[in-house]
Amino acid sequence: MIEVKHLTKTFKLKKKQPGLWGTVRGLFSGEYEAKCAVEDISFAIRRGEMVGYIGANGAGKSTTIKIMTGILAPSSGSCTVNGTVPYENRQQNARNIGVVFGQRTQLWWDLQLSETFSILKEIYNVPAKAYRDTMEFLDSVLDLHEFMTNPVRTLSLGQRMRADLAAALLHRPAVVFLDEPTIGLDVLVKEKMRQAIKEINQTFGATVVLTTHDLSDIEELCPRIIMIDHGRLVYDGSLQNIKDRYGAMKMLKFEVKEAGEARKIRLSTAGLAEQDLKSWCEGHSYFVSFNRHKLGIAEIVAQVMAQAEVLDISIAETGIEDIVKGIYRNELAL
Amino acid sequence: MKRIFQRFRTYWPFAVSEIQMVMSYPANYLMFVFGGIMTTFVTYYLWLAVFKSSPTATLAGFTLQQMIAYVFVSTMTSSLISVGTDQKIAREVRDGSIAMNLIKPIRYRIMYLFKAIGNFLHQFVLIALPLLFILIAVLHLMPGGITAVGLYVFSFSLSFVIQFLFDNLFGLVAFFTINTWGLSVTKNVVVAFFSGAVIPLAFFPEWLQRTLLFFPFGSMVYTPTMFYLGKFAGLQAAAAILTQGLWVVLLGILNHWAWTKAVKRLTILGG
Repeated sequence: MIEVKHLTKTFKLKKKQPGLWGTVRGLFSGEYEAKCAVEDISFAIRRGEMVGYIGANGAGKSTTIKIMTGILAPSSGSCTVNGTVPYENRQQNARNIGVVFGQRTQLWWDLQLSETFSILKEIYNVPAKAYRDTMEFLDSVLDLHEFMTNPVRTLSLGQRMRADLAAALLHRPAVVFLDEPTIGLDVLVKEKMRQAIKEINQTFGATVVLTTHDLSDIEELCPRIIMIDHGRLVYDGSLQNIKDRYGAMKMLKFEVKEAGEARKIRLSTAGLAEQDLKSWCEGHSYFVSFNRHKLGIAEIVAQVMAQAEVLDISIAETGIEDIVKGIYRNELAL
Repeated sequence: MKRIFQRFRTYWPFAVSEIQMVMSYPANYLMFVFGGIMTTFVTYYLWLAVFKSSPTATLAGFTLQQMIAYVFVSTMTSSLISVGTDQKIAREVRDGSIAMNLIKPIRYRIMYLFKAIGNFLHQFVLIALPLLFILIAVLHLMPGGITAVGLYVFSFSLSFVIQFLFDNLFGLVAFFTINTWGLSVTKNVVVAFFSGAVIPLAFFPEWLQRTLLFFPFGSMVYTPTMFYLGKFAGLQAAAAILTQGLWVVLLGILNHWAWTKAVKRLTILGG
């Protein structure tokens, strides 16, 4: 469905010195520096897949999305979406894709929301029946009727995002690009957005590429992730795999009856490296972080129970957040 | 034919939404209409004063009646054709919202043409019609008769296209310089002065008249207005229409070339 081969995009940026004087000098100097936003990226996405495209700010995510949507042309390399080269046949490609840029809106700012949908209906030549069906479906998932007659400029961020998602899906695109669609949203709206994304994938079989900084979006939606950092591809594979490899750490939390008792607990750490077993306490709670391949839960629980009166135990798995944080900070080599 | 109709249906909503947009803010729009009509009357009284203090009955070949007709028709024409396409394109490039238009299966320039048509339509109804009513029904000023009105309409449609293409070209400059505010201000002053929107070109020295008539400026306001006054006839009329046609073609080609260059340069700011 999407094929990206050795994609590279270099921007030419004018060198700017700081301050007013620097700005003035910048007017006369012709110095440019090349900034490589994306470097030699290759991947392929099959029809109907949901892929999380992640990376830190400025990693090159948006640049790749812009190339795939036909807004930017790459410096070298190639890319096809549904058999079309987006930057060569922008309009043809546009018929196949739906795009949400979380930071921008494609709604008609001064008009009632409903106007946006009737304009888009004409732009994409959506037949009347398909239009009614799709609108009904989108309304059922995103509750658009609540603000359908409000001018777009009066919508809240959550309402606007829901409307923007609906606007991108009106023509039932084969490929949906979502660039930070949940940015700044509260938990309830996020849940609605995710539900809608899930349903278009299942009902219409749409291929979804999602970039986000909220990794719970990814955990809930995307079995596969592609991770880039400083313009280079650092990981392409299943989310489960990365969790297995780097999510071996588990955390146990004990509620202890007496705070004093918690402080006295000692675990026998014979033969274990420091990163495989860590423990600390906060008030009545005693935490143990351990590598589940090296140490069994039962053993730790038995040791703690023998030393203190435990009221409650909870187990937490290392989240994808912690893993990605590690990768961003180069702590985990891939 | 069916394809053209389909195309029209695709782009027509852009014209309609432009009309709806100005109607969303009625107070603002009323002031805009008022300002447009006000400008006409200020210029009208200015020329009235000029003629009253002049010893001769005609100035540069204009009688007072013709001058009044000129003022009405030229302000109307220049307001109908100036829809600010250049500033709108520049704004989209600067804040990056152009991205949202590029992800749609439409031609960017055709979209802007329809937006311009939408702007033309609401200005026609709310500014041009009242002015025409005053001019024809109240002041009985139709010096060239009905043929002249017909020629005016034809010449006007060409000048509308010329101004649109001209503004487009200036809008595209934003792809290279990002901000075009200064350029736009200069352009507007130059166009207002050299297109005959402020003073009829007939008041300029002979050599400047000829030059300006040959530039797209004269084709924008002066030419259609002179048609309305019935002042262009025979060879001169043919030459004027030909010049307009030539500019449509030339600016069209220039636009196409500049657009291909500009789109390659596009770097959308802000992530």
